[in-house]
Amino acid sequence: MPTAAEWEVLALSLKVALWALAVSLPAAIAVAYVLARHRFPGVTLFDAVVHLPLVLPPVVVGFALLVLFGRNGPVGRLLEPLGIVFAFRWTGAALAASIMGFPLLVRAIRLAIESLDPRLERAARTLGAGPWRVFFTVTLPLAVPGIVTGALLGFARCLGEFGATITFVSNIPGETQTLPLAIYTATQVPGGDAQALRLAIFSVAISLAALALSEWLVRRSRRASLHA
Amino acid sequence: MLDVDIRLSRGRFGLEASFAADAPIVALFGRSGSGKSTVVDAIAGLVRPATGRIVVAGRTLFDTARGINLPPEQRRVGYVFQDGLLFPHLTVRANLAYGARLSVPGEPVVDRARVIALLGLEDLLERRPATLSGGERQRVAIGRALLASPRVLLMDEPLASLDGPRKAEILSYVELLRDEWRLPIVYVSHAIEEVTRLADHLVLLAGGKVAAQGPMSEIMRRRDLAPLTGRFEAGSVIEARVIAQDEAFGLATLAFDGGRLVVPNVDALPGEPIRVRIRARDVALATQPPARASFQNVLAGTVRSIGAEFGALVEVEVAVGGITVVARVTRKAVADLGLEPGRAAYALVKAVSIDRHAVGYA
Amino acid sequence: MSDISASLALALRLVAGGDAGLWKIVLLSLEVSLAAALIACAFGLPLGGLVAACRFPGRRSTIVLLNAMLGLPSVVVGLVVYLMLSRAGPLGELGILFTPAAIVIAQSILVLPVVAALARQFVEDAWDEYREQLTSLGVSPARSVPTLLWDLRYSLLTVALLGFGRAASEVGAVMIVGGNIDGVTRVMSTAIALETSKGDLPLALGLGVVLISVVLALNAAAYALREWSARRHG
Repeated sequence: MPTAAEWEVLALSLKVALWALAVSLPAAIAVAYVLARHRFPGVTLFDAVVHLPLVLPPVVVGFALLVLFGRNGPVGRLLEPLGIVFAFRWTGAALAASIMGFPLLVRAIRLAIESLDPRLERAARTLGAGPWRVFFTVTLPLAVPGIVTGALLGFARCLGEFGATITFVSNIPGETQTLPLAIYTATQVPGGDAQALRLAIFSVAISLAALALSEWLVRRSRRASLHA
Repeated sequence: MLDVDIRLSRGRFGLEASFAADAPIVALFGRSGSGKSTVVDAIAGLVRPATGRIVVAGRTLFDTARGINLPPEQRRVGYVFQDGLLFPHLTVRANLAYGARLSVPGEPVVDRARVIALLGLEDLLERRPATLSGGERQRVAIGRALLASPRVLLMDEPLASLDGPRKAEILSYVELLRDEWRLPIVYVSHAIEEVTRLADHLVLLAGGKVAAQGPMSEIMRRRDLAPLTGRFEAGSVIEARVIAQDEAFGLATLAFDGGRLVVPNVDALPGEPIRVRIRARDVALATQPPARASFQNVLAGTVRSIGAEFGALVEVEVAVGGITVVARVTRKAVADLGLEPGRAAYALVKAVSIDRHAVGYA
Repeated sequence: MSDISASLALALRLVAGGDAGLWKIVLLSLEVSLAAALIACAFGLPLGGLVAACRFPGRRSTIVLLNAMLGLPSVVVGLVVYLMLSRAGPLGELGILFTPAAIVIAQSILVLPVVAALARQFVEDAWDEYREQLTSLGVSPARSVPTLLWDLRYSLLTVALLGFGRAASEVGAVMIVGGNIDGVTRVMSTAIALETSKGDLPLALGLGVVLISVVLALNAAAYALREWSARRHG
């Protein structure tokens, strides 16, 4: 069972991951829908940009975030008077995690939307529903299984995020020391191996739980569609 | 009430369709790939022609000259798709309610109870589309389209994914719609039996162009169109009325403008109008009525023309009273019998060949 | 922004000027990642192919294991390798903790499931296409795998390139098993993390520029290879 200090790390990690997910999910749904259903000049470029965090080394992403959102960065300076600070705070960790997990979300949701029969959306239009109504009453409900799977995968990725986090907001216990950072820190301390192992076990347990849940949901939706 | 004049191209496929009709059921007929579904999609607003005009029931839906292009949700068209396309995550009740509009003063709103009763949907309301049979699904699809209070009903091969008995069932529902609902219907199909049974006005499409259009019986009779309507399906369509039923032998006697027809197993009451399709290959010719033969239908008439030759076969048009019957016989027979325009002849039609697929309730 | 552009100018001078410290780090990264990619491919490509084409006992567990490995946080993998190689661990005798060898091991373990998953995807598609021909020629699924892998060699080369990029990008596991020791186990990714936290931007920037260039070049090469082989083989 986790000690008080370990609970602090776990709670922080979960807070960071859940916030990262909550913020990136609506954006990911919108982006996935555009990529799945629309053809416009520059769509391939847009797709490539969305996938950039998947391709780039995490430290590079963290560094870019530091340059842009750090205290002296252009965006950071804009947001500071509004009270939104990312540098060296858990919000920065959440931002790093959400960007690293974004491509995974978009991929899973896009797959879900593309597997829908587009003619269903056309049928809804002929019945008098405008594009927004079609999206919320037909596309979204039918894509929910894929969205949930994507969210779980993204959540697992956010929990495991290391490189971008440590580069952007460094390793501040209680503020930015998420589970992976805590594991690393424990190995740097003499005699901390056991501690690291304990933390690792918690991390693995949560990841596996999320993965198992997404597998179960996929299987359940497959069984449901077989009955269709 | 339907005025379509559009041009569009998609890749290598070019569509140029221009037709106008004012009939309860307008059928768009042609082979797969002839462009008929594209025309209907254009009417619904799901496809945008490059240039043209679409006017339905006096309302302009699309006109490039005036810059009008109503989005699908404003066009008030009901669309019944080939496989129903019911929303899988909603119950039948929710599917039916999807298109229901808030009542607008001046616009008649469709009576929900009436639609449900007409299509027999009461027992299906709480079911999910996945648990319905093909025929049930199509009925719900029709109901859903009707409940959106459309001004015109578009049906794109609604029977294509159904089996025989189911086809007949839905066909009769469509006939019911035409009679009870007074809603203009645009019916797309590549199956000639459906079209001859339902259509009043026929638009023949081939290779993205309108090959012919006009009243159904006229189009069906034209020999030059036989390759498009289907060679072996060339024939005549006769509008008749039931005048008597022979219970003992299960035969009905129909009267048409030119004589009588005896038809087996027609379940109709005296006085009912009936449309009968007679395939050219089922008609034999004679220069005198046969003495003792099984033909129930011996129609006296005059040879009108001898035309299109298909190898050993030839098609002969015989005027019987006010209608024309087409017969496909061998050239040898024509030579042996000395048939030529103006010659008196008898068209012999086996009652058997007029099966239930050939009979439609007009 | 001004200090950023100043640092950038400095960074580019380090890169172009062949700064010994910077290029030593780059060279080590490339060596280590190349070794890891080769090992991962040596095991991962056949594994992916077998999983795609054959039904063998334990196939399902292999798939589950590979998926789980893909989803695990990289620091956990790093920790496991660390514990194995540490003096108290089973392989402690080898004394390779905090050496490049440890980094190679950790990176190989991380890249292997990625390579296997991609190989599986490619082989599955090819298998669907060629299954009839191969079985009619009397070739068993197991024996088909080498043939399929050879046929797909260009696609698999792209997998190797992507694996290399993934290995070079890894930082968490490498920090744990390598220790980021100057001149011994400091690779591009860990150096960037360190220099950024120290506030020494020019070196971090310079390394970042090189790392991005390497990764983008790998992806571009993989893309070009795919296009070229598609055009040649249809």
